[in-house]
Amino acid sequence: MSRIKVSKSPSSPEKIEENEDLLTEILLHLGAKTLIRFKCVSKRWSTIISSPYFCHRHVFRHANITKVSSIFLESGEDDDNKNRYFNNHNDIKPLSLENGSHGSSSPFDSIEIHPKDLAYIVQSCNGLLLCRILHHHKNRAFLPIESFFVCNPTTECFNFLPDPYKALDADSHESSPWLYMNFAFDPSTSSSDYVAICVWKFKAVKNSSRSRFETMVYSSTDEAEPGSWRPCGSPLMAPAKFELHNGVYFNGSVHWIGFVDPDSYAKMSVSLRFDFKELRLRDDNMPPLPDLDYFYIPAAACGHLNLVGFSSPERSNMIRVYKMAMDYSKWVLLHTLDLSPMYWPNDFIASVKVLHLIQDSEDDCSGMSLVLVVNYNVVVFRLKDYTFKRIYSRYVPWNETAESPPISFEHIESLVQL
Amino acid sequence: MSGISDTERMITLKTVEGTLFDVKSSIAKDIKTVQAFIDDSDDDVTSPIPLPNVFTRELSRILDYLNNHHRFRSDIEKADEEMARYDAEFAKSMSHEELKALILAANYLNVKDLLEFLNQTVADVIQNKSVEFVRNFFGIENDYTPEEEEKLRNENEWAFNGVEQD
Repeated sequence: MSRIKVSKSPSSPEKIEENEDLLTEILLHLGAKTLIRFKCVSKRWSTIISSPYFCHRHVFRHANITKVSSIFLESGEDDDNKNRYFNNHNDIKPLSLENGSHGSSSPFDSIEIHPKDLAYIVQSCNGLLLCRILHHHKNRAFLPIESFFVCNPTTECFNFLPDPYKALDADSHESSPWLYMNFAFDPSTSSSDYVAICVWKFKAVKNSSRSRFETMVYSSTDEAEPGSWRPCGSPLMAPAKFELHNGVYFNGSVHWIGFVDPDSYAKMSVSLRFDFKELRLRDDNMPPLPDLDYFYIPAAACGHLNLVGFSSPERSNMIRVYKMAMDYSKWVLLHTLDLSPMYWPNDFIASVKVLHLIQDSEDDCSGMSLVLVVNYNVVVFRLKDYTFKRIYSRYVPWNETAESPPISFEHIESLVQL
Repeated sequence: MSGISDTERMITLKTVEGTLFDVKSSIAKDIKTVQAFIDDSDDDVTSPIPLPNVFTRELSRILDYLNNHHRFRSDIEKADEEMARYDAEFAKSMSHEELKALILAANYLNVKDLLEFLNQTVADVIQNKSVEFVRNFFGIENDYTPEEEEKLRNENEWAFNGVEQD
């Protein structure tokens, strides 16, 4: 056997770097946060990581990763105590669930907001946020009273939605319906397209407690009618007092789950969903909430639509976690917890607020954690082994005695470009 | 290199150093560059196939990997578990230099599964590391001016939280 002496490859490290396809394949394995950091490696890396082609492939490849990296916490309420807002850029930075540091940038960093206007998050979905600006600024009479934008705080890109009021016909305008804005972004079906749903609730029908709900959709890549709202589905009659806040996207539908008349004997559980396959609002097929005396937060995690029920918004020691059966037939009880002091090592539990429910790790679908506020600490409580991890220690909820639970929005780091 | 235990057709590969490796044709199928060479040849390939970019150390590792994976796949019941254990050991046994050399070889030979696995291994190594570590790892020269880099770091400050010590 002849052996030719060949010196060892002198610079194999540079060779990977020189091969753009190979380098791209390696980079596609990294998470969004790491890639944002690695833009600093060299100009070439920055160009690759910022390219639409790369981002597109990255989003598609990581479409099933539902790792909630951080959480946005509320910081204020408007005068009517109706809308939680975030008017201070420092407040809006998400809190990392890993270590309590501040996560990606504020969704409002790249947008100019008049100091008199209020801006807040409406909904979070797979890495994108839907935000609303309420215009108080008097000199802008020609502008709508509110506007909406979708943004990705990881990549700091954003897109304003077309004005939904302009899409309303004159008669409807006259009756000043309520507007509820929600959206869905599903990277497993489309890696850059999101769909906004605008639901109009009209005044209650005479001698009835029910209202007409009408829906319009806006698709970011609608080819037939780019940049416009389209009416869809037939109007639906539903309880007039039902509000379509805190929609949760799961399995092709945005779900709204809640009560009407919470303070009266007529308290009633109502669930609606917008079905993206059929493009219509539906009130069928959803089981009622399990216990009318509880408060609930819906959350998609571990391949299910879940529900966290708790006994009181300010001091919830009793917590129940349910999952929705895939056929929408019932809520299945998964966990019943009594958060008595035995679980909190050094201190008596004075208050517990439920913020959210998340999946433990990206590749393990079996474990969930609650995100709670315990004695002004934001903690992650693992349901698998009942362990606490404190991630932030000086959190004071905006309104400590609020009658409704605090609102938080999950954030998933994504390179999706708008 | 010999040790033919069955009648399966064998193919001979020749590395940069001239070392010869006999490979079962079923294994050669996973080495797309070799398979393409065979497919392009009119006659049966009898003389060694030269691999001008592949060194003996890397080829021997790659063949080890492929042989073991073929063996695991023949026992469906235990395949996943044993493969995962083997892969973990395989990744651990390499230095960073060896890992990079192996990626280039697997890329040249177009061994899809192995390349995917090695890319993931590199990603795991650098995922939580600093920018400086990555420049060092790949031998990349920083072409930013100090001002440009400072600006970029400030804009993305959050992404520098939780970075491991090099």
